[in-house]
Amino acid sequence: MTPERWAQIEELFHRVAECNAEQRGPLLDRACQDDIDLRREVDALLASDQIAGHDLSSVVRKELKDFAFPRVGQTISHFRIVNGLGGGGMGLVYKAEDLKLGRQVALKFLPEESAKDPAALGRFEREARSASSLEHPNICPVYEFVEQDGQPFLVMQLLEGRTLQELISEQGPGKSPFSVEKLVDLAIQIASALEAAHKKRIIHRDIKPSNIFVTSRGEPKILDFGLAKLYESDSVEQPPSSFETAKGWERDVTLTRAGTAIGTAAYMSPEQIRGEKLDARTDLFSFGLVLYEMAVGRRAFSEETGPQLREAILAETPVPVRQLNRALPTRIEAIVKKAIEKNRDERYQSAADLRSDLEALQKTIKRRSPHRFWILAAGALIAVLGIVTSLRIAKRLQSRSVAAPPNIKLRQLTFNSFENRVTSGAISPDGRFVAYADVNGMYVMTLQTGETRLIPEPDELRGKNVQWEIDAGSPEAVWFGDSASFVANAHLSTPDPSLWGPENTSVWVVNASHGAPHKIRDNSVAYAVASIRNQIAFTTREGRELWVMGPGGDEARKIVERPATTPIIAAYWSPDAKQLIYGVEDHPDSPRVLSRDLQSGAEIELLSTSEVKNMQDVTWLPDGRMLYSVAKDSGDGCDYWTMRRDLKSGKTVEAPKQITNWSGFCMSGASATADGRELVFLKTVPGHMTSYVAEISEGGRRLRNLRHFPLSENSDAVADWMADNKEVLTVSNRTGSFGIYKQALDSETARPIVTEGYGREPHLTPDGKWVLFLGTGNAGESVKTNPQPLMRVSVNGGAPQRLSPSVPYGLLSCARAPARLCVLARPTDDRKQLIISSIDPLKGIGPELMRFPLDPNRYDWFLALSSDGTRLAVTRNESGPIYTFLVSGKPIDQINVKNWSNLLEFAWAVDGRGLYVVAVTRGGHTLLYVDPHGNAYPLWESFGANVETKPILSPDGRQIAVQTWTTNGNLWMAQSLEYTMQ
Amino acid sequence: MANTHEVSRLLAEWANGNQQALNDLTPLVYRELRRLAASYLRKEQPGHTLQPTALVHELYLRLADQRNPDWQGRAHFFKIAAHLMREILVDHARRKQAAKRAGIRVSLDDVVSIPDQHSIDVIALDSSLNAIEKFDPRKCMAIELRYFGGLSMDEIARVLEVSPVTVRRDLRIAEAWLHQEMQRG
Repeated sequence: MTPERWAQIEELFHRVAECNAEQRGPLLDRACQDDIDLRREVDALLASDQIAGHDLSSVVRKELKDFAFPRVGQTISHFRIVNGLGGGGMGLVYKAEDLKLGRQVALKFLPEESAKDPAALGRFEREARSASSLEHPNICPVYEFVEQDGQPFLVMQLLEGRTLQELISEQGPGKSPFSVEKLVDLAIQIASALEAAHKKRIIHRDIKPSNIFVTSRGEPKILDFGLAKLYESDSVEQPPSSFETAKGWERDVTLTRAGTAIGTAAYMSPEQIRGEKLDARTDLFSFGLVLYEMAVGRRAFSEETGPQLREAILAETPVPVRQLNRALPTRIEAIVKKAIEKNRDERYQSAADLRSDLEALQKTIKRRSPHRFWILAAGALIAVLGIVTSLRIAKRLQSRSVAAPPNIKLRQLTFNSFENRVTSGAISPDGRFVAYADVNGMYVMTLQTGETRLIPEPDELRGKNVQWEIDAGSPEAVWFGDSASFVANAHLSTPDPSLWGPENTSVWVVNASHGAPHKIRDNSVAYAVASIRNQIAFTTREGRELWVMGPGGDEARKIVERPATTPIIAAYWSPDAKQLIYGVEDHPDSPRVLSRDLQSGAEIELLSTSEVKNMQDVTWLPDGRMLYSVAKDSGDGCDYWTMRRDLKSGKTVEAPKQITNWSGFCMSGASATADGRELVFLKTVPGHMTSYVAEISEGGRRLRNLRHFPLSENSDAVADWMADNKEVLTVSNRTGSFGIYKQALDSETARPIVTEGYGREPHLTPDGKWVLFLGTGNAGESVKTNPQPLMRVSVNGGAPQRLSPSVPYGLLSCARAPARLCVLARPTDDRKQLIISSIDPLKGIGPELMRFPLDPNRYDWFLALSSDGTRLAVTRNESGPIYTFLVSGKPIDQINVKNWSNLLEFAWAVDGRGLYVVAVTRGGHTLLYVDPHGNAYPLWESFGANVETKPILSPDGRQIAVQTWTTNGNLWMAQSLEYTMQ
Repeated sequence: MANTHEVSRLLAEWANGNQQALNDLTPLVYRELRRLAASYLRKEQPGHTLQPTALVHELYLRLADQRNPDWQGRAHFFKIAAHLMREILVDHARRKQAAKRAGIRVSLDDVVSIPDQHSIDVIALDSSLNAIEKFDPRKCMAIELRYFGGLSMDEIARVLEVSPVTVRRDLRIAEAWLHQEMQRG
């Protein structure tokens, strides 16, 4: 390439790149005229324009990752190293699987130069051992010290969350990421961890934001205890003879030890800088600086170089925190100031002193301004809607609300990510505790302090796959009346709630304050505790029988027996414990609620199937009213309603009332305190798109090795398989808008194929060369009514090409090689018929194959082409049946899926006979294998799924990807319900 | 870690055209860069293609003689460090490839997870960069600073002494050209 030619190309490229798509062609034609090479060069550059930067960056990043974490993929001792987590001067940290115990851990390797020095190694081991003796909830536990092939490393708990450094830097400069309450709460916990360590004469020496982790549950954990000392040679602890030598030494120490030079130097105490003998007070100084930064979002000493920093720490006083953040109480300023006194004799003398000042401050915050503890939610309650509300009641309620506007205050109790969502929880009758379970375990939170106790796993369940459940259906009465203990179910071996039955479930009693759970019954599911008599209602024998027992599992007696076809799915006690209320399921997903009087044995229907259909989360409040949530008409979330029915006659004695006016989320698993003022519930918000990949076994009727893929936190999901069964197409919104990417199943990096102009429905053509998709329609219009063009793009990327004018809301489906067919299904303009046409990836929409009658008002039809390209399966709407045709339009059969309705997406099994079908269930979406006779075999439930869940078979039929929308789950609390509970 | 005067001296010598200085420098910087790479990757946020903190900034703070922290010296350092990073990563990739071809595992230090089959890799990027350097060295340098040094557009502009708009344009066409070239190769 000559410089002249390059200049010509460059000039034209920029000129064209700045134009919009329509102007580009004519401009190029004019500019290039007969210079075909020029045209070709610029065309090629334009094709790479959008994706090149992303590609280069992922190429470099991938290599960088490889280079930075050389041990990924190795197995050392009994640890299989999975991934690099981070690192710095203290060595590299990896995520690993403990092959013996089957748990995930973090491994921290020593920097190589330290590992080669026997003296350093000895010190490291001693320190590591003493650190591992520290047991404190806010210190990251060290499980083991291992030396394998001369490589020493620590085995530590794998934490989920972020470091303080990350939290602060994400917030942006000058802003605190914490509320005052959270700040003080975290500070107290950190101080108490330091206190515990100092009591054992262990000094940290390197307290800084990157060494303090905040877990996704919001608890701080100090990392790297006892490691800092390793990096100081013995001579270091002796005061240097003159200032000059001290200076020389400083530089070396900072450089050699170092997470990052600055990272550490900025938090050193003056005595550390001077090289004096250190005591526990050095940690308090460093912690004071961390507290400063947590409070105002910037470092107390923000100089950029080591020497400047050291001078500043020795001589300068940082700006008082309240000058930078007016919201801070004056006492915080005083606490920070005292912690960072340069003369250690004027500082806090112990972590305990610092902690007790923080605790005193916490009390004043709580007393003075309780409202700051809560997020004020939806102000006035206006009950205007109702199932049977009379206008008069509504009006009265409205005017009352105006007179005394009630503020329901909402407070978030847990902060779990979607991977470890909270699955159930219940508040104690006295309002002191909340018991809850997430995917990993069971906890009791003390509400006043936020302190959370992990309930230890009982010996009997250790090493087993246990999912705890605290709200089997009647969470307000999972607790015993004295609020000291509660009942929980332990479900074994499957996290899939649709498979939880009494056979593999046991009932346990858990003390809120101490000890492990103890078992009171096997092969049963507990549903409710009558708090006045402490009687436990439970089911057994696959839900056929409802029993009652005492609090220790004693005096069990059968109350109800049902036929196997209509099992009992929930039970509640009436507030006076005279009636047992229970739900039965006559057909899958169509429950109704009955009430049985224990004395007379009389039974009535309390809620019919059609009533239950609109209610979610039915529960009984202590005053005898039913509380249930109902989806808003607008579709924007749910509200709580109450009504009262006579439990003996079933008559309505208090009309339905809407008691909340929330938007944006739905609720489930509500529980209330005995006074009815506080309500704890699971708040579920629409999450994001993700996917799972599994192997298919047993002729399609089982899934194995189900795993989450890709692991990204954005919407990122498998859309189709590449021909080699190893790579997949994914759709992701990583750039802010959705695009199509290509990613290998064993890789974490994705290559973009289309980043602009992607609409939906990406499918790989059978020859593996093209990706077909529907492009974007008009902005802001609903996808169902917005016509979109058929597009194609090479699997290697480049500029997408339009294959057709815009067509009404359609679907694509492709066969697999050696077949060649892809089809487009789109409705006619009057929406009475579905036109199914073949697609030629080079030429566009091909000949029409067949038509199928549609319901013009429904958009929930679906279609799938078999992998050999000979058959089509089509539904008219969610209720089914699934009609099958030859692609010539000749009908073959219709499949009525037995026992399941609400069918969403489906795909043909690779044998061309069965189908993988997704059905809506209570907790989410269930993937079924359906044989040609309509027999359905549930394979997996995407718990919390909404919107859509789509099965995608690999070309060889051995693997399946399931694209799904997940839901996040966290516990929230609503307070001050007294206005509405009358 | 070697003392900073030594690093500074070698940097200066290399800038004056002594190729041996680069060879001497590489092992000194190698380990440091690996450490930084690890902490750098930790900071990475989903959805971002480039990081908020430049890798070479940290390296500068750790290695360079800070007695004369003038911008000229720093700009010079950035160019060198980004180039070194490129050399190191390419070398790393080559060794991996060689190890794979030979079917052996090299020493602990060098063994890496199984290289994947992507046709465009850092080796292809390296030879494409060599090609563009022949007719447009500034673009090669801009790419190095951006992708191997992690510098922002504005920082690159200061290092190369051109306007940020020029950097943006340089990068845009260079990226596209390299992308094409890598696919061709």
